[in-house]
Amino acid sequence: MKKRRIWIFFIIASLLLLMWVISYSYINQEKSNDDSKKISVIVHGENTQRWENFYQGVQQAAVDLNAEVTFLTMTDDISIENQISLVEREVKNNVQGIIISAVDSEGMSEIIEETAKHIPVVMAENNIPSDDIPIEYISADNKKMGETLAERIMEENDGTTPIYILQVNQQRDCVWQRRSGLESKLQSNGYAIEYWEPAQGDSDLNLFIDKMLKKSAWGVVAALDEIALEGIIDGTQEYLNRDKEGEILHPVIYGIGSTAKIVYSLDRDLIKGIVFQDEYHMGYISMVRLCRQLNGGEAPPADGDSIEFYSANKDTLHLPEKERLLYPIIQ
Amino acid sequence: MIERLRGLIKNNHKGKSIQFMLSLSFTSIAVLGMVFVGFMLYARFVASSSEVIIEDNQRLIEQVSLNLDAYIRSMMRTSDAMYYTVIKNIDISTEKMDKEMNLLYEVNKGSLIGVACFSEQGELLGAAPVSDLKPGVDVTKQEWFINANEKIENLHFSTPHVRNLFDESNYRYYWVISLSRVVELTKAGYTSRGTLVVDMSFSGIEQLFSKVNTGDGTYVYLMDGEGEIIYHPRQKLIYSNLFQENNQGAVVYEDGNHIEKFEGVERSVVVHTVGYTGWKIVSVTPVSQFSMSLGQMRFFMVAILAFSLILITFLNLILSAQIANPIKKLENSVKDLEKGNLGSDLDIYIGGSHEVQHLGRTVRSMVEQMRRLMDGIVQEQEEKRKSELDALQSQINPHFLYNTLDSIVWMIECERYDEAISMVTELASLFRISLSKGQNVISIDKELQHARNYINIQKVRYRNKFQVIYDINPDILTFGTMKLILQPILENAIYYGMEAMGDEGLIYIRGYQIDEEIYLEVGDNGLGMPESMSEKLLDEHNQLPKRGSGIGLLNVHQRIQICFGTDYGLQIKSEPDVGTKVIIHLPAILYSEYVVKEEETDEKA
Repeated sequence: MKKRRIWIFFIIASLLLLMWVISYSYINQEKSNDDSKKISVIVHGENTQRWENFYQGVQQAAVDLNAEVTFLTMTDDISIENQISLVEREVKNNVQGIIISAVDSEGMSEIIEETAKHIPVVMAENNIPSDDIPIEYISADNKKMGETLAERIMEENDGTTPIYILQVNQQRDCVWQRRSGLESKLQSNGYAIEYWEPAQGDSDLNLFIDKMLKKSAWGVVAALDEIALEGIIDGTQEYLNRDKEGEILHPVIYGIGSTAKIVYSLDRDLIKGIVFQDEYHMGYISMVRLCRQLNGGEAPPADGDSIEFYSANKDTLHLPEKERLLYPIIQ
Repeated sequence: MIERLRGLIKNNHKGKSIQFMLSLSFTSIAVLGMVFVGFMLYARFVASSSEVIIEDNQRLIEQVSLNLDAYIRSMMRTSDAMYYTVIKNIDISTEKMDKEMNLLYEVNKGSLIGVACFSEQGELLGAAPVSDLKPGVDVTKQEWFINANEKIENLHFSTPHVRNLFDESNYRYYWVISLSRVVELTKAGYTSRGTLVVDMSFSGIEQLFSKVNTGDGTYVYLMDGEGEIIYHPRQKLIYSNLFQENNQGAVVYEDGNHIEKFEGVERSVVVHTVGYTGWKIVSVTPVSQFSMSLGQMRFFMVAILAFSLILITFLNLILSAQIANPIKKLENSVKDLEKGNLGSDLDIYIGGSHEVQHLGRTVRSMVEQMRRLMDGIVQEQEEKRKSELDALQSQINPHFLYNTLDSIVWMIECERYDEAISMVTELASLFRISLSKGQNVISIDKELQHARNYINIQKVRYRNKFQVIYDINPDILTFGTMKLILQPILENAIYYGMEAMGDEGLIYIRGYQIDEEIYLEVGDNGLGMPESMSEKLLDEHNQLPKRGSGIGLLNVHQRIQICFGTDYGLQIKSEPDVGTKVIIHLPAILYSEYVVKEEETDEKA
């Protein structure tokens, strides 16, 4: 009987102790709830303004999903080594996941594949050729963006106008896809295409464009990413600034991208039309998918996730639905 | 259903201890009560918390509304000031309005992006800060201009848009809300219509609302009278179709609190309409938030409930033990009684509550009564047994005397006086032993002495026609036995076995012990008898022909059984022409123990 009583006392004491432990841990749960995920966002190029919308999307998702984001740009526009060193540095800093827009699809594939073996990686805008492991890819359909750009050009230009495609940043898969879409659409509709392709010595894009404009300022020029489009804007602006009379010809510019400079130039009629993707959406979804992987979510879809894209010209620029995308409200 | 429940409870009660049942009952009732009270309190607490949250939201909205109203009124005052103190007082054909406009702008520039006045054709008449109109801009196609000219008597507030009027440097743009109105212009003495636009910075409204949107589950947004969102904390997500808001549903709500279900989420929506503009401030709180904020409260309730449950169980165990222990002790006493223990060591427990004490006393008195009755029965049985034994014993004494006297008579007739004298002496000796102070049990040693005396007499009488062999284990001599059990058997052995044997008669007497049993055997090599006859010898109702007194084996057998129980007695084995063997089976009890027992019995008597 005495033994039984000791047992009962022991059980009750254990239960009370257990309750105390549970209560204590529950009350202190909120204090110690520091399980925010450390994420790095590595983008190509050195222009932070170009990624502003994208970053806002990432930041909003980070707030929603309790993540801590470090946003990293490169020290120049095209250096693979620079971006590799950024990836290596962040992995070394024990980040839990990386969102990356590769500066060079082929050149970055090895380091990204290696990184993806250890931590979740999401590719934004620009993909890499990867057969070994599935890496989530978030972007608008780049080929269709190229085709839409071609449609806008064809709407406003007949086949008599020469069409030049500025061939820069072809090392990025997204640019290559866009070119493919643009070319195929134009060619299938009987439009002749010529290429402005910088040679080995043309290291400065503005000088190269200036050179091309001097050669032929009449025609349509299509740029396939923000860097190329801003390059044409700057080159054309310089070219026009030299013309005090304001009478010389300048090319009709179309392009893909929606930086502040591009939108401003579209509003000033320097650019005729743009195609742009919803980068805020892209940033938000990239973060959501990365966090889902971190939380042990399902494997990424093989065909990537498509983001909406739109086209705009001066007339449609100030439509409410376009303004909301092209002029980010800072929240 | 109730019957089934009753049955279930009844079945569960079976075989359970009273302490367990008491503990279970007390604990169940206490837990049910606690859960009921806890649930009611919790429900009331949730309801009152919901009311508090809704009231808080209403107060919050009213505060935001006051601030927004002040902001809007300040813009309206600016617009009025522009109109009534600047535009109305100048003739635009001769005077510029830029200077006065700029002064007013400077006063309010914290919340203003700019002010501009346009002619009916969209020509810029004045602006502050002074800027050049963007090339190609047609203000007459802009929404604020169209709205103002549609209803000229009203002030019009636009939804947020990017200001698309002036050349801004460095790719800057401004999200504004335009307050537009039609103004009367004086030009060379003639009046004409113009449009005044005051562009309020959207960030001003954003700041008002961001202060109250702290991200704790409740959020506040602003929409115009058409349900078009002006400000929302997740505005960009809405623009990118990543978040949906029920603004088109909420636009028809009257001011006050509403419960709606949107995208599967039940929400409490508080609506407040801002004066003049018709804008609506909407606060949204998911209903789950009401109880979510009570998470800790819920946890504490469960913790307290669990703690109380443990404590109550513990206390109930102690209390029920206090109640049940006397009953248990009484039950244990009764269990002893059940086992047949009526001895003096049986102590019926009396204790605990009044009822249990009464029960204990009753049982104890019953036990006393039973004890008395039992003692009476035992005594009666003992007396009966003794009288039966005495009767049998009284039979055996005359029988023996008859036999012996018969032998003495025979000797005297044959003038064998010396032998007769010897026999009388032996008889006297035998009687001295057989009297044994009136005791029925004597030691085996004495019984054997008795047998030897008898054999000696018979040997004289039969002139040593037979031999007697003794084979006695000396260890058994101290054990007790009924007196005069060997003599009748020896008599039978002599009469039935030796008479026809001439000089070859042999009687052997053996005594030995196996385990806790004593065996005395008397065998002869006489004529023997068939098994059918030997089996009947110990039957009280047998019809066998008797010789002499006819008292012998059966008497011995019955006496042993009365004294030691039916497990003991005689066993007869006989074979015709081989002989007869009678085995006396006795318990191995020391004679000294009988002496003590008989003394106790005498004392009792």
